[in-house]
Amino acid sequence: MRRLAHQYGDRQVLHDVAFDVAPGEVVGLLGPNGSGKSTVLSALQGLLRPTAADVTLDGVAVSPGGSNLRARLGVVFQQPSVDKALTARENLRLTLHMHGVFGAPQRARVETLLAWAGLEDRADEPMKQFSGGMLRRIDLVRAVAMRPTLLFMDEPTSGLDEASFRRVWTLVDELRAATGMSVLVATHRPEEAARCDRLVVLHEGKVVTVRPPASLIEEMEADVLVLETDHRDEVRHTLQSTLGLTVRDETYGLSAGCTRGHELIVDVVRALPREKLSAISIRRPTLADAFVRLAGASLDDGDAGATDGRGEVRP
Amino acid sequence: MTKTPTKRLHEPPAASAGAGDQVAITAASPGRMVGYVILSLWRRDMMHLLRERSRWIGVIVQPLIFWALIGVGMGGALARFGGEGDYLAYFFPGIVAMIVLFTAVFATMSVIEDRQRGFLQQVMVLPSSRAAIVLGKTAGVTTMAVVQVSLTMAVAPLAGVDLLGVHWPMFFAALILGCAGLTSLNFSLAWVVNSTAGYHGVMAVVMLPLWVLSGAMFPAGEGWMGWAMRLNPMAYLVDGLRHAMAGGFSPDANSGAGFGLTVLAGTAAVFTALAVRTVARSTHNARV
Repeated sequence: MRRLAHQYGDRQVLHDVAFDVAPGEVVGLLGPNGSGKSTVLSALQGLLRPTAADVTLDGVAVSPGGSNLRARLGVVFQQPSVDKALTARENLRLTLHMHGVFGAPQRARVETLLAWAGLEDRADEPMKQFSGGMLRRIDLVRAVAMRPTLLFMDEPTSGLDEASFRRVWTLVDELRAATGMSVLVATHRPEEAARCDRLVVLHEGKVVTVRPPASLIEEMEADVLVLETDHRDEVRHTLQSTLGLTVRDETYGLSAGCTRGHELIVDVVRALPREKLSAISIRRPTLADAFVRLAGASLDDGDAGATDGRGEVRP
Repeated sequence: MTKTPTKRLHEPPAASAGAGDQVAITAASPGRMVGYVILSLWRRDMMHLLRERSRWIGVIVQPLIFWALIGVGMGGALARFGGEGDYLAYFFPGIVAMIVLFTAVFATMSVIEDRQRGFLQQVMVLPSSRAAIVLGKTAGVTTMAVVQVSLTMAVAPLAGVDLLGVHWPMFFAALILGCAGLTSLNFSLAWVVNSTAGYHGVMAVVMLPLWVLSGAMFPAGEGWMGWAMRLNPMAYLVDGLRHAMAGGFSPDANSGAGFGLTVLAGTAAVFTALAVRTVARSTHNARV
């Protein structure tokens, strides 16, 4: 995709966004809420008409969001696209029905999809009784019911706990291995971004960089110093003036990149009065730290930040 | 890079799928898919109709309570001022029109949430024409109305309606055409308003006054109100039902049966085309 641009009124929300998705690849659109991730997906899905876009599919130019592209897509929306008043089996049957799959092939496919989701024993219960993670798994197998070559996922683990997050991504990995489909996922979760082969880092509608997550991490300092404090201004001033650190605000306190954290931590404790610090620790940098370095903003800076800001899950 | 270790919680697809994953599934062409989507959305509405019992109370019982209370009350008031005739009988076709209106309103209200965070999201990204969404919803709601009104007709003899004398083809023609028009109109409004609270407002300000001006409660008078009733498509639904319940002709109707059915067919076509255009041209209110 090249030259994707979109404007709402006077506001340019996408600026010449460009990236490729190779067969079988998982590409992540990483950015805070409001960075343009969902707009990119909506344009490709035909849910909005972009101001400009050049899209090619297998080397052939296609209309952005046109039926040629949509015929190859499976989509997992931010909110599960299921009818919660119906059962999982009924939902899957309706999806296949809409594609013209009936009878024995439909029944066999539904059983396969239920097995993939690991929910055969709950197949005939109304989905309003399902947990968020179970809804997500059914929504995911619904999206791949017709064996799409390209799967779009818009923050597919939003609101899920860690166990459900892992289970959904295990299923994504298995489905990808089984079908060879490509995946384009919009996310602001560092741990989700870490699962991608490449990341399109978006900030304010612009592509900051397109690289594998590992290379983004490699550029970071070796450690991140994490300080929990109720005296941010004083602690920030001391760290900057005395130790020459670049400090940034976090939801829980302050953090600073450094090279030898285990040595620096002693200097920090010496430099600060005991009552100024609640806790101090060091951790390895995450993609959330890499995003700050690249964009000068936090993944939590969007209009509805949902992560805890710590980015503690190491890729 | 090393990925977060995950516990294998179920068998991988390749192992669990068995023969099911080998089955040949071929998606229909976008053209043929239109028919399948219409059928699927209709089927989904039928599932809801059978399961949501509270819907029946809202759609059928409430109008019947109105009919009994207003019919008896107004009948008494009219008798006091020297009026003649059975107001319960006069009011009954209007109550049937109210059931049609309520069916269309409640069913299309769900479109708002369904489109933003529900089942319709997946339909919106299918390669088929979005006209299928309008046609499928209209087919589903119209079938619901036919079922609900048919059951309501069991109490019609209490309003003096002779069930054996009802002109049923005319009755169902008026019912289906009227419901298709109302559903399409409400669908467009729901799609454009795109908020449940806003849709409630539109219903209170637009649809209920249209029902009051439909000849359901009183005949068309002279002056502006008479003209307003002649311009109101819902008035032709009430007239069609009134004619049909009287066996083909009712002197209480404000327009002829043939003319009324023609108007209903025309408005159903126009409102359906409007809804199709609204959906086809719409862009999702995507977050940036």
